[in-house]
Amino acid sequence: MAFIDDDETLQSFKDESHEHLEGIESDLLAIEEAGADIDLELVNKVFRAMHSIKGGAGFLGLNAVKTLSHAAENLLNKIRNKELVPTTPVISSLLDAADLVNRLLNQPKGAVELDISGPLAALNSILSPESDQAAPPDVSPANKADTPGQPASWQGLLTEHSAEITDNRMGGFGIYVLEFERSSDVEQPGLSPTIQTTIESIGQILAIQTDDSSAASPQPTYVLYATMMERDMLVSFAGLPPERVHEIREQAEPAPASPAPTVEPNPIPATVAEESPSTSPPRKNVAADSAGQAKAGTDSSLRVNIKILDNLMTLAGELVLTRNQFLQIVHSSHQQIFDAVSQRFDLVTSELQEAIMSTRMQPVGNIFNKFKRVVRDLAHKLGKEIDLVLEGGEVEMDKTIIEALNDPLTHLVRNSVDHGIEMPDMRTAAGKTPCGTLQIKAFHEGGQVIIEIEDDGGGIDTNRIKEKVLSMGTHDKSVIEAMQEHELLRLIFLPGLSTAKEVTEVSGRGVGMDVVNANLSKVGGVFDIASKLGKGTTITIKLPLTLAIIPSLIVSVGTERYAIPQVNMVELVRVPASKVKQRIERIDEALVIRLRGRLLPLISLADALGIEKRFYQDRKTKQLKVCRRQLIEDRRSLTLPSGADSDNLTSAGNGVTAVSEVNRENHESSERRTTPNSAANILDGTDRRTSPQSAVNIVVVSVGKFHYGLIVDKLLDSEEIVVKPLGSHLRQSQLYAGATIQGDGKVALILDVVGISKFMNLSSGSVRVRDGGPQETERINPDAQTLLLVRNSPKEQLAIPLNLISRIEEIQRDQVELTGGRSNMQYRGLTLPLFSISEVAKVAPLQEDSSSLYVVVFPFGEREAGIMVSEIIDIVTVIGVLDDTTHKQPGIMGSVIIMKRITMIVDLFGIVAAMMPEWIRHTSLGTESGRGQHILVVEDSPFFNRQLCGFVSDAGYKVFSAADGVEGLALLEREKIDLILTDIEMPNMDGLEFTARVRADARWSGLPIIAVTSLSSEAAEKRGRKAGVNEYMIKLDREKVIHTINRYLKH
Amino acid sequence: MQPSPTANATKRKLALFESGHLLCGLDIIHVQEINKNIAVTAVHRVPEYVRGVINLRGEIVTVVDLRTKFGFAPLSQEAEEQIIIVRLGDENIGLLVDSVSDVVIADEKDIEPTPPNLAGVPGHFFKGIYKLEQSLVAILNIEELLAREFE
Repeated sequence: MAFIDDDETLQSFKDESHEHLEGIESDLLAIEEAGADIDLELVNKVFRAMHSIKGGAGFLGLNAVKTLSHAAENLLNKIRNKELVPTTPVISSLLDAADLVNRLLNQPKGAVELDISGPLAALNSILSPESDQAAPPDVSPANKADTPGQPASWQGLLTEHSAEITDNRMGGFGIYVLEFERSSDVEQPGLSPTIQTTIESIGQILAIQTDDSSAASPQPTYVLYATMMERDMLVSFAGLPPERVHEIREQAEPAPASPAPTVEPNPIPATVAEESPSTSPPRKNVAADSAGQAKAGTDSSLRVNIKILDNLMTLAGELVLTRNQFLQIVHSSHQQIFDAVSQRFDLVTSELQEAIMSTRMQPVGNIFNKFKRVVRDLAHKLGKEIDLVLEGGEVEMDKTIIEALNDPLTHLVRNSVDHGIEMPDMRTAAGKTPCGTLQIKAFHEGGQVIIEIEDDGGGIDTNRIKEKVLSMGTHDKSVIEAMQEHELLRLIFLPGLSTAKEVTEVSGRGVGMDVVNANLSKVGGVFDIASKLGKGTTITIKLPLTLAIIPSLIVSVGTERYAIPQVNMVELVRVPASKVKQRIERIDEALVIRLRGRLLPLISLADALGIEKRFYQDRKTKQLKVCRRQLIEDRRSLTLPSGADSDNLTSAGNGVTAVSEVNRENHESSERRTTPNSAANILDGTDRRTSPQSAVNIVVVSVGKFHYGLIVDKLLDSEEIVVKPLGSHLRQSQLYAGATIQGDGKVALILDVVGISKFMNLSSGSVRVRDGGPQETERINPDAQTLLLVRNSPKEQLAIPLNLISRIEEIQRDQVELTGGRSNMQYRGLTLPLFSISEVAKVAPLQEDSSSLYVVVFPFGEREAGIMVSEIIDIVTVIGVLDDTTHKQPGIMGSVIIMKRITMIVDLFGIVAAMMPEWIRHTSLGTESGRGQHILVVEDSPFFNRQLCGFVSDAGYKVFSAADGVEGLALLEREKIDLILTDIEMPNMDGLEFTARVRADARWSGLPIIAVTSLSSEAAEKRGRKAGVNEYMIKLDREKVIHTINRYLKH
Repeated sequence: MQPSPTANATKRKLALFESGHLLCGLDIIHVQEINKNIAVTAVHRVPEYVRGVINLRGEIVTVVDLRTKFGFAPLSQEAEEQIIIVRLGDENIGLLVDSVSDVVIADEKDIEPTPPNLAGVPGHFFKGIYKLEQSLVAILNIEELLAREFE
């Protein structure tokens, strides 16, 4: 058997074998679990997989693989024949063998073959305990009962030549019996020379037998034949009718009629598989005809060369870019046809993109299943009992992410098993079940995939982390002491930190968590850890669905544009020039901003990137101009001509002379360039990158739970960008996550916010200490209402509840189309109705003079609508009292004082009701829907109470109102109530307690309870549902609240 | 270095270009294409010789400034530069040069070993010196030149 030097064949064999091996592992574990009560189908599946590997290995001359898989196959055969119970040692030996086969396959060509003697001996000793020699799979006469009606006359051939058959089969050859007719013109026994030559050219004749006893005429000649050919090939090659070519296989399954061959010296009987050509499968799927394969359904997936996929991705990326370009052109012209084309283009591109992306999506179960083995082996080794629960294996993610997840997840799982879950006796002592539970879950949340690894072990001792960190001497004692629990937990990501008391083989060497964190952040993963001493640890990893195309915000510093992935962003803050000194402060060398009572560290992107100041803003023209003096000194300024033609820059050649003030600034900034905090000059206005009068734009980004602000010059646009890798010279830089190509063909770098914070030595520990009141800032008042402040006229301030809106878009006035007396715009392929508040309420109309305006997009039922406003001012959170009497009118639900100004709160529902009455009817929100059923509204704020009561009774229900849980319970006693609408945060008795009490009472336990809240948070929702709340809604979302009530009360 | 398949075994084609006062040659098999007027996007906090990145039909290509690499003074800002795209391993890299002048066929026998130092530039950046009639051509060793320095 020659070594086939064919890389392609070898590669495809390896690919195939890896697939087999992947399945083998989890199947073996399942077999082990079933114990003596074997699942024959499963054993057969593993057997077949091993068999295929053996066959291929023999064919390719991979002797070690062949020998090992052969021994494993024999063992499996014994299990299959119920001669051997798959106990843990048996399965372990098989797993070891599979591992070794895997490693052998991964060996580069020409490497010294790994030693297989250990696992081989283990397998063989199980196989034949009395002799340490592997029993070769001899061929014995097949049970005749298995093939009734078949000529058995050649069975003798098989018996006689069993040794040769075995040898050839081990070499990967297929064994056949060919039935030739002795033609009348050939008198001598045997084959005609022509036929003999022909078939000898493609295989080996092992024996020839002429059946003289046969009554058939002409008498047949049987040829025992070994060949590499598939059966159907052989049929055509030998020129025989298919029924005369018998494929001799190792028995796939013992025939029910045959006695268990336990006493036979040759444990593997051969059988004859007669097949009609139509059902003949390729040889590598030997025994695919057995029942098991059909329902396995593994054929539904397709193996695609990753290069082809990558190419498709590039193409899709290009298409997206072209679209971006196209959309830019469209915006600047007015031709109707362009709009239609662009819509189509947009749609097709997105669809294509999605379709192609889906080819890269793989279920996360691919790696989850590996943990069965990891946990089993480790638990055995450590003497622990662990129940592994896997959930959400079907959740799909990009292949690259899945692959990148493998190592970090394995590490985390090992950690949990090794020093998370305690020894059984310790668990019992702690009052837990001796068997620990390790849960690995994957699920979707907010466009991301969340992976949770949860154990019910001992938890992480933060005191030990403290000790350890202090002993490392990297942090000040005061810093550590002031840390919050979750901050301490995050310290385990420090390099060199391990809290394991002793180093074990498994983990505890103090390398790992930092690497895990780094690897996860490379694929855009955000890592979090929560632990309760004695209760267990939960690790949460948030991952993007895909890496290839990501929504990002484009920002600029000077002339340069950068992309910040949206997954890293928390919010955008613009500090007006007049407020800069007030809100941005300097503590030591660091800049911080006061944001909702909390101090947020700031980094100037220009400082982080070391961008030297070359521009200043011309006061009169508001244009960025180039400081020429520095240009001459600055070698890098050669890049300017490329950047200068964009936006509103004047090119370097325009002969702009620097004004003296700028020169002074430059002088200062160049002096301070060495200190990382020259951004501090933002405070005194000397280094405001545009001008001292301009506002400061801050992108608040998150690194896990830690947030910081990046100061940029401009916020440009949000775009879906195609991520491209950087060249090898740039990959070392931790500041960039890649690059993208913009609509105009220019390159923009993608910022790595984690890398930037590291580069600038910003860490959660170092900053939080300076934060005076973390307690206070962490608490979010659930009754706080976040409002979007807008205005149409400088004199009148309006507010829209932020949690009712979906997006804000800036549009050109000419994008608003007037059709049928109504304003509309084309938006994401649909028509978006636009309203202005003044159409319904008596407020100032839109400003006519500006060419652009903002559209606040909000959902309404299944549709969307937009409110046009002239200006967006800010986003504020108010806890103050809302007044719903003074300014109430159609379209306005009330008012509140914000920034010392009376601010009217827009009633989106009221506006839709006035402008689009048919929408209300369509959504069955009209007064007809209620049937006088009784609804209890429990809400402490008079404003919200009246709002809720108002629209519930508008919908035709009878309303009873209570100010807190106590009143609510009293009302329940008195009145017959059909449904409860309750606030959560209330004095005396809050909504959760109220709900729990209602649920506890048999009379009301079945009552629908809808919780209403000002802000939706998943944690709060979880708590609510735990207490017994049926639904969780946003207070002012009238349409949804009514809709839900209707749903619950529809009998 | 392999000779170009079309050339005689003892001859090789060299693309000639200037960087500072140095006349350099680059075996033509390395050269993918030569570009002019491509917008280079600056990249900060990277080795100084990396001028930036360009968009080469959808691929992000790192541009190395040969003058900086050689330790020469930068070209005046108005001057036009050219970018030679070379293939190194599985990556395209742009070499920023003053100007590409010619392609010559060099006879192997006219190539001499590089002195340890060539006009202040370390000799290991070059594979040899080719003598033209009036001038000397320093043949670039791009593997050495573009070897990554990890600090």
